[in-house]
Amino acid sequence: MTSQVFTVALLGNPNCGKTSLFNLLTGSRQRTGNMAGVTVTRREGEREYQGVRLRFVDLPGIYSLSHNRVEERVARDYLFETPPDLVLNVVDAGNLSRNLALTTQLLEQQLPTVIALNMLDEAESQGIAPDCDNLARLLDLPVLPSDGRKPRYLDLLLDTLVEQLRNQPTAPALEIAYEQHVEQSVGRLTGTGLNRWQAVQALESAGDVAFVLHDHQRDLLQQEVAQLESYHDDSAAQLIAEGRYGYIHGLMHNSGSDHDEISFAEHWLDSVVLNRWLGLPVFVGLLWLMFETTFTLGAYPADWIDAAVTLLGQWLAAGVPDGLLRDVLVDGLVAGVGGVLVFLPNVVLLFTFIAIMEQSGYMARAAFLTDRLMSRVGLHGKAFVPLVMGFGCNVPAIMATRTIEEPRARLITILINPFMSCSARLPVYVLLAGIFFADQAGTVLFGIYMLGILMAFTVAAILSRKIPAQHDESFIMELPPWRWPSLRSLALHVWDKAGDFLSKIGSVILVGSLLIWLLQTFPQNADQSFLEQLGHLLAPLFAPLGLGWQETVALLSGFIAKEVIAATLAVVYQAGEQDMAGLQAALLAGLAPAAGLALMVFTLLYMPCLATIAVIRRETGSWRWAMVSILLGLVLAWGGAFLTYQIGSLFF
Amino acid sequence: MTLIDVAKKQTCRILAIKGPDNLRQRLTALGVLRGQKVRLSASTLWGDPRTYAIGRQQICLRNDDARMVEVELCND
Repeated sequence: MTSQVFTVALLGNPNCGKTSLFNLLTGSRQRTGNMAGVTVTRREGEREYQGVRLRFVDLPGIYSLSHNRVEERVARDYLFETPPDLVLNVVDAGNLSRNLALTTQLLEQQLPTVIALNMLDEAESQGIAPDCDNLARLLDLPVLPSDGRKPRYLDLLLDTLVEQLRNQPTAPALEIAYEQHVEQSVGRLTGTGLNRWQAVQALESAGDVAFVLHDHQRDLLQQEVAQLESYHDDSAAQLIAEGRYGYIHGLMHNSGSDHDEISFAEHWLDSVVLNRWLGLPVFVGLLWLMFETTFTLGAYPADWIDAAVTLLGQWLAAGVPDGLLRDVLVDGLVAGVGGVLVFLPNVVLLFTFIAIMEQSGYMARAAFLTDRLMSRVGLHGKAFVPLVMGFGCNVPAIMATRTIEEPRARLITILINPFMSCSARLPVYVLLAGIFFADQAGTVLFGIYMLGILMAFTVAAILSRKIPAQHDESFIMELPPWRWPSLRSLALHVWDKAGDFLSKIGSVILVGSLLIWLLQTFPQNADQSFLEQLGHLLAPLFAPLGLGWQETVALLSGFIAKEVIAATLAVVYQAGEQDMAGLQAALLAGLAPAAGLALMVFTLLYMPCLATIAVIRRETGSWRWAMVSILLGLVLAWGGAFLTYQIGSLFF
Repeated sequence: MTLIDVAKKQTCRILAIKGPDNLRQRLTALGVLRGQKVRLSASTLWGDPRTYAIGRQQICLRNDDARMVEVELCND
């Protein structure tokens, strides 16, 4: 039996919990972001329900359909060009007026709509929960409670969606009575063949619309916009928005809910986090805590994994007969793959912290705190999220810069992103910091990340003086309310990232370890292996940094993916050793502490991995910037590591 | 007076929003409209940008933009 397929588009304001609901509806692994732009490209997911296939499309969080910004255009074009069977309008119950302003646009456009009243718990706890039935009656469409964190309302919501879809939903045409001059303009525009909603939307967006406007319509529109401005000192957009809010307030008056108190706990939290003097120290303190915990807490499960890897190595060593097969298994696979696998807990912890910062609403606050610093170096406040995402992986982080509209600010954000140390580099730091600076490992980790940030800002400052700015983008951002991160989407997100890490171990790192092992084992019965020869060839370049041929080949192998560095170190140093303790002892014997630090600095700064180079090339549209990024990284890395080693040698 | 003159604990009412079209459009989309009450809710170390509480929303504005919003003190 082929089931019917229906498309349902999820639309709502930023921070209304839309993506969480999408996750719940589709069960897919998606992430929720608190800042505009995490959902720039739309995502889809499917669900079978009562013999019907529901295809859900998650549109970016937007405030309005007639606003000239990337996210708004994506949503607006989608709704116009491929109208879904139904729009599921996710509305934050705690901020009804503004959320309903978007709803009025949907209804004017006569899109069949069902409202999911989200964050109801939050609104209830503040005593401002609206009455669904009443709202449904006033708006003449289904209004259902929903909660992206708990599945309790899910069946009712799905029942209603399916019922609506089966009955071929039609939308009640909403006609808001706007101010009289606006109405006159709308009248004249509809006279040229536009629908009422098209006329309203054209006025509201000053002609930036999805449908076609002919030249004579465009001319008339310009006249009307200018005329309204001259009558009122207000733009057409303001007058129309006032009409929408007037209509909504009328509804609220009838349903008896609108309230503007912020809860005490939220107020208290903001008074600390956004305090003029405490704000930045708290931010830096939280970052330190994040890296300290990543290291210390991650060490426990890392020990268990290490023990398991060691056991496996011993078991293979005992069970497989002496020869090449045993060598490749024990010294190649177990050493290389195991050497990276050990860092899974650290990576998981780091991603958990970033996700908590995002979901709780802290990320937007940190962007606010650092906006001034960012604008000093030619960056935009919006650059904050892509930069922090860079701590996870630079590839999605660079793609996330698409929300920055000013080309120069975007280019700079892309170019400095590789200095935000991604989680692939974490294993190298954790390994080396644990060996050479066991007592202050967390602090050293924090210091390395800080160095990356400092370098990013310095480079940004220089680039912003070299590249001319095009236009200034304003920084207007809403601070989302504080929210408890939902365990469910936190777990999904972290699980997803852990999966990425594991699949990379199973592919790139596995192959890389084998390759390194091959190069190290062959030619047999020779003085030096291929790897050693290669290392010795390039070693003079790295000698001023205090690094030997082993580190040289490790860094070379890191061009493929940064995790491979740790794997290579493990394979190269592992000869004869079976566990982490052996590797640590070997490294401690082979490297000076200052050289260990220099190796960390080099790993932090040198050229981005292949995937990042490819994405830089794609997002900037030219190889030129990818080359700039590679050269910049290599020069800074060598210089930085040189200084680190030379100065460090004086102290340790 | 404009938004940047609003001191802590003062409540003001928005009289008009000036400035370039895209600024007005953005503020309008966020629900910042004439007649609404505004308070200063947070400021960074440099005093720029600042956060204003409008209803249950908190909105960050740079001072250059905040200067475009004319307000008057409320006495109630």
